[in-house]
Amino acid sequence: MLIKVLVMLFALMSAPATANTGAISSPRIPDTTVYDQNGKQLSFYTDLIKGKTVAINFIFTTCTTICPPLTAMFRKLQQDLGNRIGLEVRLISVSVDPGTDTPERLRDFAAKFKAGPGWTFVTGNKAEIESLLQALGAAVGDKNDHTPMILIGNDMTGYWTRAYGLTPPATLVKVITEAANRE
Amino acid sequence: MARTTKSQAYIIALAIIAGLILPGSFGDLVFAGGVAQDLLTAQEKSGKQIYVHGTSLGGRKIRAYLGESSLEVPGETMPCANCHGLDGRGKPEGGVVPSNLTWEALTKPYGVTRPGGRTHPPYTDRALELAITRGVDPAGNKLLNVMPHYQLSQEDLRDLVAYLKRLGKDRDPGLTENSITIGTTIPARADLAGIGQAIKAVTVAFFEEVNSRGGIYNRKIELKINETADTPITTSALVKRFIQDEQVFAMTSAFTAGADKELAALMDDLEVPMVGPLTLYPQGGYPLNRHVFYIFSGVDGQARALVNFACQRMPDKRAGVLVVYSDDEMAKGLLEAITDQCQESGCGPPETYGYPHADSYVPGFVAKLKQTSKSVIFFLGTGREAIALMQEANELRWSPTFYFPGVVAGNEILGAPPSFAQKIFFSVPSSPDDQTAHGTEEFRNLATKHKLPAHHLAVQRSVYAAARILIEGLKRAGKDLSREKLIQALEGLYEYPTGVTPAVTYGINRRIGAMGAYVVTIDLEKKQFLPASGWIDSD
Repeated sequence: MLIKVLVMLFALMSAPATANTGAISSPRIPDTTVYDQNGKQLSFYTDLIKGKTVAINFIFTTCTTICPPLTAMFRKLQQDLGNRIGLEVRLISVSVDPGTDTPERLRDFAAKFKAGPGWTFVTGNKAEIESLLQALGAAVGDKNDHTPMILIGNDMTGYWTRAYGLTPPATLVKVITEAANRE
Repeated sequence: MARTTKSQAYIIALAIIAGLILPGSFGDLVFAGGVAQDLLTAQEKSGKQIYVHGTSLGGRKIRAYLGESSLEVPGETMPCANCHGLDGRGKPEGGVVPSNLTWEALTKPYGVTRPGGRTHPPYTDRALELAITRGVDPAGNKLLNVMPHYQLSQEDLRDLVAYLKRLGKDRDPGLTENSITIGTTIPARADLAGIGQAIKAVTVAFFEEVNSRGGIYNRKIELKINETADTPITTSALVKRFIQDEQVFAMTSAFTAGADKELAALMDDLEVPMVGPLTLYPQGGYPLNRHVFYIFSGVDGQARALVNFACQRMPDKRAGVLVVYSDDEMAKGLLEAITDQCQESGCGPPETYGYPHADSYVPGFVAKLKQTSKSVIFFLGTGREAIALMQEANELRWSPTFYFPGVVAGNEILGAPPSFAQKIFFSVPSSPDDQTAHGTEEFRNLATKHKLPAHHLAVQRSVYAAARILIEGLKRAGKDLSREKLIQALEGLYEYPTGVTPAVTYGINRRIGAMGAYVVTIDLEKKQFLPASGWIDSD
């Protein structure tokens, strides 16, 4: 399993320009009740996805190997997308370990990476987050095996794609811009 | 009624601890921290700081750059240990398999082949420096793109490389091939000598038993003991010096009452695990202090359990409750916990009233309370103040139910007016019901064999429980022991039965083993404490 993931990883890394895997069928995104890093209750689809272009990654706060780089990448996206963040594009980091990741833990994690407005960290009830992850195609048995994947989509047009989490930021910005502008 | 006598003994024992909260007098005594006897050289120590925390002891800047991009973050966001682990062997996650950084692995004479097929000759000091700063291996191959390259001073770089040669082999202080040094702290005050004797006697006895059975993975437990000082700040300085001089690996049952915050912060700072400190004020809140594992709920945790109990007994939760508090530090934290828990339990927000500063204001104050037509009072003050309030209420033919979170020092409360019969409740963190037959027998055997003192039984049980929890953690952490592994093992304890306290559970977000309380009431006629509830969880 690990080897397979690795092979995939290397394949993706050696060809950063094709980091996104092309359009995928638009996932049906549930309106799961979630909590953001400030403990505020939100409806995942209505409050975070509806009418927006989004980039979603998957993290957990006790993950130290892959999550810091993934999160640093989002931080860079936040800087590079500038004032489009929050208006047309939203960044979302979903915890794959909701049992441990309380809103307080997410808030500390977000602060460490200087997450600003328009970038929401979400956690919630374990069973509900699991079905959310399932719907987003990011469910894993063992949180340590979670894929370093970014899900990018435009709710208005129904265009969705996936990218490797450590694709160079400039390429990611291009993919996100494309998603936002796509008819 | 052996049971009630035991409860009473416990309450009184805890009351004694409660009475110890010393005023935070910051004397002008300054201790110049003890001589550090770290097993590492100064250079290696500096390197370890960089490896583990991504920061420079010299205060110099360390920056990390990710991939080919200009993604720049402070070194502390991505220290080496994040991916390569404290032992250097790597923590695979999300398909990333970090290299083994132990010196043997890096310098294998026949070179290294990575899972992806990348091969390279053995590392040298210079090659390592290039890997760290430029992200290339000794063959000139690019490292995996999740490996940041770092910008740091030549000095810090040399220190880091020096430490990498020790990585995986450096043991935490207090640990040798055949011993583990455990420390405890006992009160120095003459009037608390009994508590000190109890801590010492139980701990010595328990570890002797462990050692007589071969110790933990052939390591004997060596116990070192020190004493508190007059003020929190001097106690903290003494304990710091003690831990450094005696090379203490972990602490058990330290008497921290009076210096709770200071000693908890010290453990965090020195990264020394501490199990079961004797205190009424566990520092278990957020942000979590990873290093201190408490057994019992503090007064605030108990207050929450008491609120759950009280709200459940109210015929109409919407009637709401009163909180009366004296103007002290303890009341402030409690007010917050009670208000929050009242909301959670559906009986609240409470109305809060400060207790009058002069006795002459008490009658008017009580009349005002009566006018609220509420019949539940959480009382955060002294027994004397509570009695004055009750007597005045009695005059007004008003007898609300009183709830006291934690203990109220002194026995005045036993003299409450008869109209308050069955209307006075306390929370206690443990009850005789927690003592299982097996647990009681084991404790009794230890007491008989080692001639443990006959006094301070509640303190003894707490000390005994702490030692058991610590030993269980050491066993689960395994032979390849470290402080970090002990912490992780303790975090894995779920409903662990100590036999003499409520079962304890810890977790990544939890440092209070038994979160909750029992509720007890008083039989005013017989002047006895009686149990009023089973265990109430406040998690």
